[in-house]
Order: sequence, then structure tokens, then C-alpha cells
Amino acid sequence: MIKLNTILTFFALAFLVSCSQSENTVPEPPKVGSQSFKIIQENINGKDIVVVGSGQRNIVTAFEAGFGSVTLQFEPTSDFIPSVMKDQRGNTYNIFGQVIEGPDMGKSLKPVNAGMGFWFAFASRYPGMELHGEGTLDVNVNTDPDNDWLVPTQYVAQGAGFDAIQSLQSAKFEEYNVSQLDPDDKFYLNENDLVIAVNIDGEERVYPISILNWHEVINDEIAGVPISVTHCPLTGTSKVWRRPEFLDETTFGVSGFLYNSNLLAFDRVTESFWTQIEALCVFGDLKSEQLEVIPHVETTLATWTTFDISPLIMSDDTGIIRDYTKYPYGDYRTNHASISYPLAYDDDRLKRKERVFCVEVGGTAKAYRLSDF
Amino acid sequence: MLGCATNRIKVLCILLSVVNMNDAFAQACCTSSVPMANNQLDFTREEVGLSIAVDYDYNYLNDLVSENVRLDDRLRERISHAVLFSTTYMIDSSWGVNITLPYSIKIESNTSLSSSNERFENKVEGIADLSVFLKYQSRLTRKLFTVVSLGVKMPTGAIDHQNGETNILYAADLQPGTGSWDGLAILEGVYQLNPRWSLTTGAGYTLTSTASRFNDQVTYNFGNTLQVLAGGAYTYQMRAMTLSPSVNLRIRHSEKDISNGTPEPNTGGFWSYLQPAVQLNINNKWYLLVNTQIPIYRQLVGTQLTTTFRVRVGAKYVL
Repeated sequence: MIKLNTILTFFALAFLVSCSQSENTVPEPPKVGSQSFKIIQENINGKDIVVVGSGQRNIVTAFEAGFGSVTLQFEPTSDFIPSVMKDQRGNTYNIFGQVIEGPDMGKSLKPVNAGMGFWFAFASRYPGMELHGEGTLDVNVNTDPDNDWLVPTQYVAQGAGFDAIQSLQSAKFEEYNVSQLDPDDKFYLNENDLVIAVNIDGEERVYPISILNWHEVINDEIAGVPISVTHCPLTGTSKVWRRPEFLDETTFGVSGFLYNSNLLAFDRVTESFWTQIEALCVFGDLKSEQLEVIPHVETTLATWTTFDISPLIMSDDTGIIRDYTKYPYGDYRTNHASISYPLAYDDDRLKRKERVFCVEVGGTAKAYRLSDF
Repeated sequence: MLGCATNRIKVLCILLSVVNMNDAFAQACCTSSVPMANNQLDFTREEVGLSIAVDYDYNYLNDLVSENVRLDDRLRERISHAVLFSTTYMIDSSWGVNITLPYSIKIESNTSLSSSNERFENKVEGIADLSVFLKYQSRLTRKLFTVVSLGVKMPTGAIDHQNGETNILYAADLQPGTGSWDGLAILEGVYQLNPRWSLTTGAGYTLTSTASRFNDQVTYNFGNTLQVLAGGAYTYQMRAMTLSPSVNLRIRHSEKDISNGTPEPNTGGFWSYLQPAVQLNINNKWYLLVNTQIPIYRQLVGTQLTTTFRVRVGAKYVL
């Protein structure tokens, strides 16, 4: 005979055990590297590149190391920001690689495909990739494409449907100036919040990651150039690309599919899938097409306002009700064990969610830690 | 003798009409999962013998909720249809066995953000997970009747349906099955206040196990779930038929799902529903029921697409 009080006790205990709290852990700002800028200059896959960054300022960027066939030698400047480096010809450069003083004034270094992101994102996409100071690993991973895809489908997963995560079709901006802020009018970003700065023909816009965490793709236009600003919250990677003329400058959306846990965007003309990290079409009518990558800089709001004291920052008035002060994935960005989708390779040389800077040249990739700068 | 039989029928009516623990077993990741038990119309008869039942469950999910705030999202919706076939065999007046097999149809559709307002749709259907219960029912006092059910849910439903266009597996919460063996426990009770009014209560707990996904590359464990239900019912006699309207408050707490050993974001939380229902006993062979669930308050972990309303219609025949 089952006793009633035994059963009630069971349910009471079960309820207590099942109670849990939500988490919304905010990552600590890095305390690594230097306040001043450091230069790393090297050859990747036959191309001379220059990587410039400051670990403590949480900012790294990379360019081809010269103009045309002329390779230049760079060193950090001791001047105040916005200059970050200079070359032997007497040119001084800003963080976008633009010559702001010197004989080549007005020219810009050619950007390379590079950006910040979680270590596991790059390590799974480029198995055995070079890690600065530690070399490469010899690993054997299946990267053969199958099923009409350009990538192995065993690492492709569907998390949601097309447009289930709403991309934005436009953006509003407001000038941000700390000295002019009303103390009672709290701005929705904190100084440690990450932002993406894009500069096209001298026009600059700043897109907060806290908005991109909810929408992943922002379709916008700067200086008449149609662009998509993208960020994948699961891999911590950002990319900006030009919306191509051959697609009538169409907007891009969030497909809900992931490759190595990384966003696959889709275009609204052919509904082909584009990998975010490489801006490459991997499935659909446009398979193998490459989008033109627009250089961007990812850093904290605090650092960015040292480059631009009154930047135009995207407004949280997106027309959609979201709390942009909240991170939508709990403790995911700080919990190194939390990975929900299959990865081609899980490289344990670094913790999975450590933010690193990755440069990719012709399919060869190299990662740099913030502590390298 | 006749009075005793009438009372037993009333108790049976009330139990059938008020206790619906079916989504005590709903998986935490999404309330669109297929209900795995058919407790509304299945086991609470006192007589020895066999009964069969068919239920239709409609779950409309169009509320995107962040913690306790409903977000503006008119683009995305999910509809879960399920037909549940169940049979109960009472070995004697106390002990019985129930088997329930659901057939699930899940449709996820999103309105495109493009100017065409095209609809993107994913539809997955198939046999879902079979559940088997051992039941024990007992009249503890003259006014208090209780039922205890212990069961297991088996991974009979498919978890490998693919999108025919992309050849990629559909999302796990669209699949008919969960891939896991789960333990289920239910306690229900009815306290007869007088010949017409009664108080009802129930609780159910689902203890889940781990399943694998993506060719064993990822392990996944839906969160354990506790549900508690309490309310009242009124019994109205219409010649040979009995009509029993009821209202219950249902609360549900789900733990976070666990993926590869770590909690999965945007899973788990607390839900409360108002649950009006009407039971019609045509005679002592046929029973019909309509049951709805309307959300009252939700405190979810993160942001989740969740139930806007749910309707269930069922019929039971006692052989």
C-alpha cells in the first residue's frame, strides 16, 4: 500500500530540486596585454600583413602591409590616438589603416579578412590553425563537402527557422558624447560593452554588439554603400559585408542554420546560405560566390570614444521591443563548456570562449590572443 | 446500491474532467512537444476491464516571452497538433495499466521580413514517444479518492527527420520524438465536498534522461519538470448524462535543459495557466471532454516561444 504522505514528500522534494536560477554573466574586461599599441608583422600564405592592437584597450585590427607590391615596415606611434602606427616612409595611420599624415595622405592599407571571436569558432573552422607563438597542430578532420553543400553537412545544424531571429532592415543613430550626457538619462550601453565601428569614405557608424546579439544582422547604408553588419552570438564573431549589386543590393536575414555553431545568413533574392566568418556562399544558387568584406573594428565603447569623442551610435529604438541591456543567452559567453551544436574540431589549446583575433588569407588562418598585444 | 454506483460515477466524472497532467511531461525546450499521457480520459474507472480513448491536442505557440515580458513578435508561430491513442486495462479495482501512443504534427512558420511577406514553413510529422503507466487507485476515505501512476516514456518517436531541401536535420524540438527514456510519476486526488461540488488536485513529475543528437556529437537532456494542479468541479445531472464543468490552476516548473553537460540558454522556467474544462458523460460507456489552457503568468529563463493557448478534445469508450 503506497502511503499518501510518502508520495507528497516525493513531490515536495522534487519541486525543491527542480528550482534553479537564471544567469546573465557579464564577461570581465581583459586585463591582458598593453595600453599602448603593439605591431606584429608577418607573412601568411604568401601575403605580408601587419596586425596592430592593444590588449588592454581590447582592440586589434589587420591590413596588408603596404601599397601594391611595396611592403612597408611598421612601428607603433608614441603620439596620441587616433594615430596607432607609422611606416618608414613617414606615414601615420589610424585604426582603419588610413594614412592621416604623411606622403601617402588619403591612401588606405588594404584590409584582410580578420576579426575577433571565440577561439572555438576559428579553431573548428580551421582545424589545427596556427596560434601565434605556438604554431600549428597536425589534425585529421573531414572537411569534404557533401549533399550539395560546400562544407561537410555533419557540422551544419538547424536551430530555428528563416527569420525566426529578426534581422533589422535599417538603423537609427544618435550622437554619443559623454560630456554632454544628462546624468539622469542613462544610456543603454556601458563603457565595457563591445561595439563595431565601420568607416566608409570618412563616414563612421557604431553598431553595439548588444543589439546584434538579438538581431544578428543589421542591413544599413553608409556613404551610399549598402552593407550588412553581422554578429553571431554563439561564436562571438562579427563581419561586415557589402550587399552586392548582382543581388540588387538585397538585404540579408538570419537563416536559423549554423555551421560549426556559426551564423549562416541568407540573401532575400535566392535564399542561398552564406557563412558569416568567411562571407562565402556555401549552399544555394550562388554557391562559391564571395561577398566583399568591409573592414570593421570591434572594441569596447570606452576605447572607441578615445578614438572618436562623439561617435554616431546606433539607437536602441529599433522599432522592436527588446531589452538591449540584457544578454539573451544566459552565461553562454563565459561558460567554456557550453556548446550546443556540432564542431568539426575542438581545439583545447585555449579555453573555448576566449576572445581571439583571427586573420584569414586564402584559406590559411592564424589566431592572436589579446595578451599578444 | 444505486446511490453507491451514482457516487462512483460522480467521482469518476470529476476525475476525468479536472485532472489533465498531460503536459506535465512536456519538454522544457518548447511547449510544443507532444503530450505523452492521456490522463484526462484514461484510467480513473473503478471497474475491472478495458477502455480506449482518442484525444486531439492543439497547442498554439505565438508568444515570445523574455523572462516575464511578452515581446513584440508577430512573425513567428508554431502549431503543434497531436492525436493520442490510448488504452487502459484495469486488472482489478485498484491496479491497471495504460499505454498511450501519440501521432504528432508540428508546424513552424515564420513571416519573411522581406516586402513579399512570404511564409517560411517547416512541417514535421510522425509517431511520437510511447508511454506506459502502471496505475493504482484507491478510496482513502469516504470522500477522498486518489490515483497514483508510475510510468516510462520510451524513445519510439523519430529524431532524425531532415529538411528535404537542405538535407539538414530539423531542430530537435520539431522532431516527433525526444530520443530519451523518461520516468513519469503522477498523483491525483478528488475530495468530494457534497454531491455536486468537489475539490481536485494533482501533481506530476518527469525525470528525463540523456539523448544524443547530431550523430552522437552532442548529448542533450531535457529539463526535469514538475506540475501541480488544483481547482474545483461542479457536477450537473441531466437524466442519464452528467455534465461537469471545472476550473483549475495549473503551474509548471521546468529545469533548464542540459546540452553536453552544461545548462542550455533559454530553456526552463515557470508557467501558470488557467484551465477551464467541460466533461460530458453520455452514459457509463461514453465520455467526451473539452479542455483549454490559457496562460496567466510566466517567469521564463531567457527568451522562449511559448504557448498562447491550448485546446484538447477527447472521447473515451469503456468496453
